[in-house]
Amino acid sequence: MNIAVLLRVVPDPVEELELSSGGTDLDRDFLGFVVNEFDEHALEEALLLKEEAGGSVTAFALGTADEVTQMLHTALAKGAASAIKLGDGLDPLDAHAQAELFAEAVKGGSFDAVLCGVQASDELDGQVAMLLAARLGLPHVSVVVGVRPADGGLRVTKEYWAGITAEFRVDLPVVLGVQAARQPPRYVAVAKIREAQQSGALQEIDVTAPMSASGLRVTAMRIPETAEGAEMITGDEIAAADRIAELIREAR
Amino acid sequence: MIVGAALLGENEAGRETFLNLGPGSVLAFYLLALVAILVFLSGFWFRLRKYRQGRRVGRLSWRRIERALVDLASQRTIGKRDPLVRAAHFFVFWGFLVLLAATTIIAIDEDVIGLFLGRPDLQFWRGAFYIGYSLVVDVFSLGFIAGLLFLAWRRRQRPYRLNYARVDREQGSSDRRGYTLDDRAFLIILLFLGLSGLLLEGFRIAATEFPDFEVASVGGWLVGLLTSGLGPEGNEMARIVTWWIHAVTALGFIASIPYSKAMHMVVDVANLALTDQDSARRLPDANGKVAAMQLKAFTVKELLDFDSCTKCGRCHEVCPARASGAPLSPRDLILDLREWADALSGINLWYGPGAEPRHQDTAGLAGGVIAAETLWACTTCMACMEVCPVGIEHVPTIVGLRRQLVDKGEMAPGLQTAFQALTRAGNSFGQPAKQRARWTKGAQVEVKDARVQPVEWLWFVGDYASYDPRAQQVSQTVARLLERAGTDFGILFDAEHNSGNDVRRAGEEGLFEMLRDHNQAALAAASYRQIFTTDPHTLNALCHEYGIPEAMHYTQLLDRLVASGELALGPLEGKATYHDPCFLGRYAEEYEAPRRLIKATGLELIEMGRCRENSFCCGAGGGRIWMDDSGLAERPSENRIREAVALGDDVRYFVVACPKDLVMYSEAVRSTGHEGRLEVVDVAQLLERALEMEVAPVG
Amino acid sequence: MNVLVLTEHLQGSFTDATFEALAVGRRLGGPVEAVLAGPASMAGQLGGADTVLVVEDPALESFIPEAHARVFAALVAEREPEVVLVPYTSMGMDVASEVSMRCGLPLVSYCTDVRVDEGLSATCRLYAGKIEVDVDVPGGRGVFAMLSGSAAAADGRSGGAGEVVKVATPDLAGLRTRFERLVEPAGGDVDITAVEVLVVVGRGIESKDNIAQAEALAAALGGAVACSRPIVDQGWLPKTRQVGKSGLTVKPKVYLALGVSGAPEHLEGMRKASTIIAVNKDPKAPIFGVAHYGWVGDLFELIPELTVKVG
Repeated sequence: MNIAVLLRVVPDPVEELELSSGGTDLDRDFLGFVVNEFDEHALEEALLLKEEAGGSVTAFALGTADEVTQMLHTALAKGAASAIKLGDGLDPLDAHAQAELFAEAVKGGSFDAVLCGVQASDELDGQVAMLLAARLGLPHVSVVVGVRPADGGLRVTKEYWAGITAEFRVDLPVVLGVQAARQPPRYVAVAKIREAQQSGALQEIDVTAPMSASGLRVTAMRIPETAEGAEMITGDEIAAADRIAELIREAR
Repeated sequence: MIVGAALLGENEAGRETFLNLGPGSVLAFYLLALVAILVFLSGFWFRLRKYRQGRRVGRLSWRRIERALVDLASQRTIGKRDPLVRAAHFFVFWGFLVLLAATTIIAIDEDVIGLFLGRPDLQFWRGAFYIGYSLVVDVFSLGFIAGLLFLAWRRRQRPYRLNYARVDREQGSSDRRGYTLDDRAFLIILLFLGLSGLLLEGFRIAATEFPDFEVASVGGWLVGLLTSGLGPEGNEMARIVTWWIHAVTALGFIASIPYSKAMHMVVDVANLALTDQDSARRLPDANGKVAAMQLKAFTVKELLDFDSCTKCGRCHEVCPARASGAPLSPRDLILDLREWADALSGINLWYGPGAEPRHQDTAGLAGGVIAAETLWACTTCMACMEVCPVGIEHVPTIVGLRRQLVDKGEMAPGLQTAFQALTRAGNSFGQPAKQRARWTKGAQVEVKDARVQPVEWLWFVGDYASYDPRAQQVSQTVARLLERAGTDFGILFDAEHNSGNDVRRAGEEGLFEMLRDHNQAALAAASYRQIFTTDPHTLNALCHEYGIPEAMHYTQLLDRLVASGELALGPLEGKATYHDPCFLGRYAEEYEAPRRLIKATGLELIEMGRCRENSFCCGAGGGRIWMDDSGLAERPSENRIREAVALGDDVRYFVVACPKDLVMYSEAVRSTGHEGRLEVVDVAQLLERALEMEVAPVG
Repeated sequence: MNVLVLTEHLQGSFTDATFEALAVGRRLGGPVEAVLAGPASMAGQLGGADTVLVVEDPALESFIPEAHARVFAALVAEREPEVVLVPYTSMGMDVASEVSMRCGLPLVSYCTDVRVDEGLSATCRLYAGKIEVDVDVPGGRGVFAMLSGSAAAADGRSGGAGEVVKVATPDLAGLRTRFERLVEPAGGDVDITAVEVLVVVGRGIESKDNIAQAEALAAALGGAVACSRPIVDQGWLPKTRQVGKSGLTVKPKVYLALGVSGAPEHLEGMRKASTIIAVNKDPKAPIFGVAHYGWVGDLFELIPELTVKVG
């Protein structure tokens, strides 16, 4: 099975986010990025599929942040056969534009499956995975929690709510928006990532600037007021325990 | 032979060696001896060949050899926390040597000088020499027997450390009778040799009708008195029979040495001469691509380590992981590796290659022959190495195996998250790097930025001291104390990353190198004269891994300030106990500075039983603080708190000098229900109280 | 302003998110059409719709991403509404992008509000709910994927004319996806949707061991322990205890959240609880935005105290 995996970085959720002076974007100067958690699951599931059914995994990414190249080297260290960086200075891009670029890159590769994280925290105008599927006219399933090869195609488990899941059988090629791999994403030793860095296996290909746009215009961004609803209890744990016990009694 | 008898004067002290034994017997004896020696040599030849497959480490030095010989002669290392066994083993050891020397002297005198060189006139085993000699040998022989009897009795008491039950298996599912058999055989054979030797003397003295000078052989004389009832002929018969039994047993024993527990007599002194405890402080670099299932995966020293173990059980007893119910026994780890290495080399010990077929495992060394849970359980506290009488270096071996696990991606749960956070932001908390110095805001004193201005003292704060809320309070206290003492200090703010000490000990070499390189660059860019740290783990990294031996611990700095009067302390009242952190105590060998500080505050210091080099680890080292400890029967930290509580109701302070200890023990005081009874407090916090500084509540 | 709502249903009933979308539609004022891919008998439930377009076809009996996306896209192309509202759920994710691509409409995800006021605009939440974003839709037409809680479901159950129109099934030839089966979660555990008092643990509980403390507290309160997704992912509690988007939605009398940060997916499952009390050491945790009461502090210090007080 030849599998393409789309990888993205997103602002580190742990960091405190600040807005730029214009107020319509994040202040990107000191922003730290991390690999989109769901994309890591997509990579893990792709690697597991490859280990199960044979074939190879190719990782794609775009963006200028240092974390992007490191992410691709990590993918190589984990077992991706090749890692491809699209372009050299394209960000931030909206989801439609990303889907266009990824679609171009993936089209010629005769891939059996394209795996991507089901969502990313900065996708304002839709999910890249599903937009890519729509662009390429491929069958698609999102919120995938299980994938297994099944007579020439894939058996895919999709998660609804309340713990209910549905199983589908899909023909190849297919696009999957992965929610969770069957096991947590594997760890790869830093030494191996260094090796991948030194091996020079990372490829960079030029891409033409995308034509698509989101069709949206951001007019304002703000940090929502938190704790506006909650009445905060002050004091130490003893005072808090008193008050909470009282509240619980009243509520019942 | 008979010749010897003829040369002795009428009453000259001396005796014939092979008295009344015909030339046939003598020949047979020497042939057997030859066979025995050949078997002995070939046994060690096979072992040597095994060691040579390991990687070389340049350890040979006169200084070490000298130290090993001194330790050997004094039996110092066996005496750690067990003076009685040291005394008994001292007599067994010296007794054995003296008796061995006796045989050798006789051989030289009789066979080399008398027979081979044909110079009976030069034979010296007579006269005053003979008398003095006999006395010494007899005294040591009695000591030898007494020592063995004591050790046998000790074994009968079934001390915990001699319990060979494995801790990583169900009770009773592993068979270690082979080892017990070996132990007993060794003891019984030596005892037999000692006793039969005495008997022999008695028979001979009785048979030769008690020549006067034989009084020097006190033991023999007494035994002879007992057996005199048999008459001279009876004693002579008994002597010849016993002589043969003794001879064959002795030769058989010699032949068996390399194939049994007895090999420790040769191997251990070699190990002591090559041992270097610093190998735990400054871990060896990664050895590149070596197939994990070859002997080359280990160094010569490690292979020697595996053979040196005498199963004394001291490491098993002191190990905090073992004590908390984790499946790690340093002893069993070493024994398993010995069995594996022996099986790989085709060596069999006389009682079988141990009962474990795991060394055939194809899952590899780390994770196969040695289970991953076993390896991850270690806190790298160094208690095993400190107590081992024969110089085995467990810690670097465990770290080397952990490296294999990390390489395969087989991580203990929790470690992955920690490593990822460390890679991303240089701290294990997953917090932004930018917030590393946030604690300085609540310190109420100015903390200089060593990145932009030169400072006298560079304070390498440490991960926990920077990010953990409880430890942050101590950092703030230290800052205030230093300011009060007029010390010029600064920190590296965000440029400081986790020192990588525990990352290295958890087996992630690549990440350690990354952190180390980053920190070294930050240090190089800063301008300072001296350096100290709040965290003992960081201290070890700075001193040994980064090559800054002059780095100090903050208790050492505070100790200086108190001694020189920069900090004048008022008296506190009460009793306190102090916990030696592993990385300040065993690793940095600093036991006194924190104690001086505590006493300087006026508190009375009550020591716990397990203190100083015998301190009991809190369980956080070696990356364990990042791992899930829900499987343990009793956390090491809880075990330790119970020990402190047992000191008595009036001991209210549990004093620590390490941020991880602060965190672990605060938690343990809570979970054992001793809140309010015992207060976990840092040395710096005690000083602050003693200074009666008023600090506005930090909120 | 013509509004088209893509409805979703599972096991015979529409999701609350569907009614919330209808409520948003009604708020916008214009005629609200709803697309129902399923049995016409269900159409009556969609009280908030003026017209229900029913596509009844055996091939659409169960939700199939590829099929339903095609059907919805075809209908949007045909009906040409200005505003398309899609509940941003597992099903919604499968169809929204297809509609956007095929019909050339901009798509706004994580949407909390849609407004018509001299042009079309919307508000949404990005970065795990940490940033609120206002966007204009210059083209005047768009697809809006609505986050749960953007309106009151009750407002979407009535107010519409309720006309039912059967429409022909768009071409479903060449489908490459086949539905095999639905799998219910294993039962036998506590049904947290039926419990009055829930003690809910999040990442702040730190280890499996510590959950026992929460169990003790829950027992003292006569309630049960529930959790957020990370706890289930770690294997510390079964899926049946999970509250949130992919877990269960609960409406207990008391919801005590300990060490739960309040990611949007979790909030979806519990914002309707009568009394929400949140405990977290991070004063900026989003949970405080939906909680009625909050305390910033160490939950490990609170739990023992509270257990004693209520026991």
